[in-house]
Amino acid sequence: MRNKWMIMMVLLLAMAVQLHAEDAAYNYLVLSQQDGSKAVLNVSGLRIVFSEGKLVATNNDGSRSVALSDLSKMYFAQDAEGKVTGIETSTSDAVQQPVVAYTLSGVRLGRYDNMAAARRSLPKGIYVMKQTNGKNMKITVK
Amino acid sequence: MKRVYSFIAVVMTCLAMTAQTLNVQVGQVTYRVPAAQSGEMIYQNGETVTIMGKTVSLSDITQMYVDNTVVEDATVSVVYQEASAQVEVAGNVAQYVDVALSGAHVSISQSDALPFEITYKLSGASADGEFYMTGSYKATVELSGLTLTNATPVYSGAAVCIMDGKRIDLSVKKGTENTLTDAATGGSQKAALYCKGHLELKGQGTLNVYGKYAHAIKSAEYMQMKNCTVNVLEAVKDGVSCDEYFLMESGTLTIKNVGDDGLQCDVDGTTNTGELQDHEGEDSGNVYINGGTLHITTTANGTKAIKADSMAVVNDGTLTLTVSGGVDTTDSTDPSYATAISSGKFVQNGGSITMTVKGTAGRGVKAYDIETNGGELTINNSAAPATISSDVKSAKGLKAVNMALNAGTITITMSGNAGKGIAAGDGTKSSSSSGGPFWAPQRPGGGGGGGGGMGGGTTYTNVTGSYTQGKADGTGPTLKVTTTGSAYSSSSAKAIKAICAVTVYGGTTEVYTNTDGAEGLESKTSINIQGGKHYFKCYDDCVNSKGKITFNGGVTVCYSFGNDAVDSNAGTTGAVTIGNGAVFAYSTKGAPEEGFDCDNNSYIQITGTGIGISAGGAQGGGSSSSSISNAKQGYKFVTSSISYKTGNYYTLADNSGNNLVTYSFEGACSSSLALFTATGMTKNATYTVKSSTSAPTDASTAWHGLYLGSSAKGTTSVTSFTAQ
Repeated sequence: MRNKWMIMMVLLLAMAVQLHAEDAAYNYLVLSQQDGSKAVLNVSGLRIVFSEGKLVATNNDGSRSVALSDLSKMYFAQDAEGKVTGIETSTSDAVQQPVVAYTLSGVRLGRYDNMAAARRSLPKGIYVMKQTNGKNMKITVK
Repeated sequence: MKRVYSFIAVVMTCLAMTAQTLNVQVGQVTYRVPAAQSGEMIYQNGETVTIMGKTVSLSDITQMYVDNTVVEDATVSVVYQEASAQVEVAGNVAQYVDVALSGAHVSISQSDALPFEITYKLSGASADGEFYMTGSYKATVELSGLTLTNATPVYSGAAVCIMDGKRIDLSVKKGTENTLTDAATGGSQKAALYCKGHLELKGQGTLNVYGKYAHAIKSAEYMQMKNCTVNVLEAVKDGVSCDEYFLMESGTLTIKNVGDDGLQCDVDGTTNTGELQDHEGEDSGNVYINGGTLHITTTANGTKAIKADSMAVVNDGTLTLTVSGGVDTTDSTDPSYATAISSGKFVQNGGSITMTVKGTAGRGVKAYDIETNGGELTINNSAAPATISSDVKSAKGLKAVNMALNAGTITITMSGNAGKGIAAGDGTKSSSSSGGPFWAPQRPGGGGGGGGGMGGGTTYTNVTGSYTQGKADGTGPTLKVTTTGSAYSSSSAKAIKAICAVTVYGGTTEVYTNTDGAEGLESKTSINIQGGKHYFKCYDDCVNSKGKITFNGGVTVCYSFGNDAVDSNAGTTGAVTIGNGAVFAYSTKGAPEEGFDCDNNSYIQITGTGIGISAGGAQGGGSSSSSISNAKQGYKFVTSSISYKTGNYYTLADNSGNNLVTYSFEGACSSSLALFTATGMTKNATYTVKSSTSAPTDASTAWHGLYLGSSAKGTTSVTSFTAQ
């Protein structure tokens, strides 16, 4: 009986790790300015307000401000270099590992054994496929 | 083991902590954007930022912050905090919803471009708040411990108003109690809980609703209910009102303290679709109860516990319906009576229904068609009669033009004066005939034509409708009707009254009345008993018709202690016909009341090989006769006096001592006119009646004093005769 519980708990743990693997950690927020320069902010304790024509960001590292007129975009990144795993466009079914399908608006549609299985199951449309290694791909099902 | 759990808990906590979420707070609204979904968030001209398709003015943003909140896609949460409310919108639906707030009054507008369903999660409490939603895509609204009163309407007067014409799942979450109250003034809402589309109530929690302005719950289209407990505790108008159809699968629905009907369903459009397969596209005005428990109480004049435009169908479940309102005479040409179930057609296939009717002239079920195919139906009606526009209006148990009591257990108890247990058929009331009203307490003595047969009462023309009991295969309902009320004005109590023809195929009937004029089974057209077992114990006539009465199957026992047992006023050959089966009809009243009264013995016909035993007072004046034309088997009118006693068992036997039938009496019966005919009787053969104090023990059928198929023999000679 005790062994069964152990096995069950380990399986649950494995599932949790597997699920987590699908959500890569985005520990940084990148503020990109019109001139191409970037400010990479650690999201730990990050708070942003807009005041007097400026974005004022405060986190555990301190405070920083950027003029609103200079801001072009912001995005989450996975490392302090401001890199983010890009979303490639895939036309092949080479991915043999499990994938999770999302709509472009972020709605999770389901988990599939591999890319080919996802293509067979999904209706026509464009989807973002998240692999268990954190890599994302965009596919078009025709 | 504990260390394993602890380890897993720590790992799970760490995993959960790494799901970053960007929270964009705009006043009381927070858009929760998972980092993994956020993509590039574009700033425009230093004035706006667009995140997951949602563009927000930077000047409106209170703050943005990142935390580890786990966001459930496609959800909008509203937490009421008395004078305010906090709204949280999942990032993936942010671009499809616009939120407006005024204190705790929340309005959410769904974009027509919304490609998938949103779940709205409502919780918290506010003494002055509301939830108002518009949209064109189906939605789910979850109530997770919500207490919401709309005191000063902003968007509507309802507590929850869903102006979305699609399917709305309203899920009352398990273990939560939720209470909705709308504004008594300042609004024009139709209900405390209003849904423009199809409302599907579900979940395993409890929802209490107070309708302070109009209905408590209103769905402008169909409404379904499953699992949840819904308590309508107050309504100015209906407790629950919906269009198209109402379907209850399970759960508990309680409705009380309402100003109008308990549950009402109307046809929405101009065309009634009738019931459709799987209810797809149905607009029938039907109410279906397939399970669950309903407790509905109404007290206002003319109100109905359940009112359906078309059909009310009970397939299963337990219904307790109580109506106590008086007559609504707002429309003087069409007064309205308190009624437990009012519909075009009422069908019971199963379940258990208990009706308590107290309101003046109230009804248990009123429909154009009533059909019972199973289940239990119990009606306790104590409603008093009333005179409205010079017409007596009396209480009814079941009232329909077409009555088909095919199966089920039906118990009707009427205790109000002039109450009718069952009223069937329709026609044009034309006149009162010369015999005078049959309810009249001052009855003429033995000198009147036809003896006790009161041949009078109201006559009808243009008669429509039908009354059938049981099916051609001999099966039928278990029916018990009791009336204890007295006559009122020109109206007598009746157990079963049909203007139309009555055909009884089967089942079991017990009918009890105990006041003058209270007949057991009356038809203004005809009565035909083809099968089943039936027992009438009535003060007045047990079976009475202006037309012909035929016994052609089954077993019928009629015991009248104040009038005739069987009385036909057809006044023609075949007024009473004995075919097959068995009928035992006796009156203990004494002369002139008879067992079979049809004004002239020659009107009796014997067309089969059944059993007919009658006992009662002498044939009255007029054209009495002692012969029957074309009798198919032997018979005898015995006009010598026979004193039947209770506790004795009387056996009719042939010359060889073979038992033809044994019968006994519930009350002492002094008979001076008795008809005997029984299976096997032949003309000119000799028969005897002997009594015994021992009841037959081997009868194949024993039914209220009638024993068939027995070998019992009497010991004391009572009478003997030669058959005609």
